[in-house]
Amino acid sequence: MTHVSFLEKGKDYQGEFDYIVIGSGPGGATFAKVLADAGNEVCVVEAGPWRDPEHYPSSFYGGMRDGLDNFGTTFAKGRAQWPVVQGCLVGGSSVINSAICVRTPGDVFEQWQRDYGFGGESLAKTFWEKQDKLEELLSVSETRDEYLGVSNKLALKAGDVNKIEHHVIRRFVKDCEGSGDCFQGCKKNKKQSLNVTFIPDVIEKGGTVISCAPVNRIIFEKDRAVAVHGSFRHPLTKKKGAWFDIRARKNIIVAASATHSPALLQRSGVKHPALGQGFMSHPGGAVMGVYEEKVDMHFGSTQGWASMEYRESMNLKLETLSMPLETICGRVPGGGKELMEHLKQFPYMANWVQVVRAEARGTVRNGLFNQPDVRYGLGDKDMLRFREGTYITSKLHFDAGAKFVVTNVKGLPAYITRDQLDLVRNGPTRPTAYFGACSHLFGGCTMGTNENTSVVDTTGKVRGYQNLYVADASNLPSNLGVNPQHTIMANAWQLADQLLDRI
Amino acid sequence: MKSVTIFAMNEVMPPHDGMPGIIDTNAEAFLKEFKKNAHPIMRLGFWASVWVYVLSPVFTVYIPLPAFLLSEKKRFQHMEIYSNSHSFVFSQLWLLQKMITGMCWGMDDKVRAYYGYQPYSPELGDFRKGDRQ
Repeated sequence: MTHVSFLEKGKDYQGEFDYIVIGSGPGGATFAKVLADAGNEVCVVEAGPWRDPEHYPSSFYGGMRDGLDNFGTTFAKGRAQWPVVQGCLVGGSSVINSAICVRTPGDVFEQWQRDYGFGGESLAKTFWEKQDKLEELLSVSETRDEYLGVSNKLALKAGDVNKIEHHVIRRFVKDCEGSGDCFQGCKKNKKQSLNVTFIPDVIEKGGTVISCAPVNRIIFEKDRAVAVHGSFRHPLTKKKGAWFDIRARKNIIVAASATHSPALLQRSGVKHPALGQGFMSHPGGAVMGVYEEKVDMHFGSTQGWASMEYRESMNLKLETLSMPLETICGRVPGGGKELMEHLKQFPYMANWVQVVRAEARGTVRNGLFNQPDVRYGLGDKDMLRFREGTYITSKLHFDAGAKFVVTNVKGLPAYITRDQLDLVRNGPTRPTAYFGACSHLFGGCTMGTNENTSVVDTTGKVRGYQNLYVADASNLPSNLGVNPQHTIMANAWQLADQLLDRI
Repeated sequence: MKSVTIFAMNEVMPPHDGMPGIIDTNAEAFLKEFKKNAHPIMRLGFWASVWVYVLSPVFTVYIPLPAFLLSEKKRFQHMEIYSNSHSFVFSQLWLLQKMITGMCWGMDDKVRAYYGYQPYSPELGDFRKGDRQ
């Protein structure tokens, strides 16, 4: 048995393995691969279905339905309600992201050392060694010039004009052909998402993958985690299927995401004062430039350009992010004939984003129907950066030749010309005035040396419990200011190595 | 119910200057799929956005009639006021109405043809079956 998918009621599933890994995203898949490579019998349990490139949808709507956790309806509730974007399928968010590969910056390890008692140069060295290997395994490369697309090329021009640090993004993609459908999953199978790389490796090494299987709870015998229990869920009808009960001979590794891991531990009865605390993200917003020349932004790599110029000074990262036609209606102002008139401009639009390394911290609780309840509101300092990011992105558009920009900021004109840029810079700072989303999620089961403020120790083990580990973004104690997939994978790998060394 | 929903969607995206609007698309099929497969919260939010839009002219243009019984001029005024509301709830509902309408519109073959884009292939929501199926 290598892959078990949705089972109808009455066909209950039971099994026993050395290790159970809950979640198959960057953390879970990497941890599972390291364990399987070492000869262990591993079972990966994933809430979502296993979709191969031939199953991927074409449209954004299909991407929401087939790829996003809860159809994208998880919201961070705070001063505004911004959606929390994450995948729910085998391979996790690696299937629906742009596969951006950024090494963990050195200052992150310094911060962890200073604030959480672990990190420093030795951990940095370990991470970077793992990241070297990951880049080789997952064929990291830059998109070739002919597949970059006009939007990314315009951003390169803006970066040159402004003499800021900027670059073509390195991604976990082999020979990108610029089909522009990273979000829906790469039908050309160029993206090295974990459903087509590490998870098949686990199966090849004798592992088992159980998909469409959200874990309801972890079962304990005294303080020892021994099994997981749940029921299958059909990915389309959401119909409940058979029960599954899976026992672990050695350890259970939780890697269900920064929202689901703390919620799962809570409903399993894990007690720790910091559990569900310290949730963080990189909230982002977008600015669209409207150009004289044809952009057709959905041709070319979805995200091909980035700038780290403002990461340290303003906690900002800038990127291009192409959007398909069906998503643009919500981003363009107005309604009726006015909106339709604006939509004629779609082929001339380029969408670029700014993401903030926010200082705000929130909480995650196990909510209704076992869904994570995220409370997270940006503070004034974060919003000032968000506004400044909107200004910088707008200015870059003008420097690339945009006629005007669409910021979608409430209270500002629908279309902004270069001489109105100060309106953006002095615009509102209340989150409800912006159209934002929270991507890159961290915390909730944070790692550290302090017993009271860190849920897991520096080996990833949950404090106060035996055989239970956390190995995803929920154990990262701070946000990074860069795309996190590489860091999550390197962290999972080094934690898996530590576990195997001890055994 | 369906006709009210399509009315509200067409208010957001009417045919204009040769460009197809919602009534030119296969909105019924989209709504059927949406009803069948969209997350309950999304469905609830969308139906709420439609009904609030249709029933709110009494607050915007001070006429106690549903939006579909208003004259074209009053319907336009209603949309102008409603879509520029400073209320966070109304603006979120309007955004949701636009987002879902835009998805229906932007993935339609006729609209894609207008822009010269290839039609999308059918989306079956298929997935890999296990060894025991």
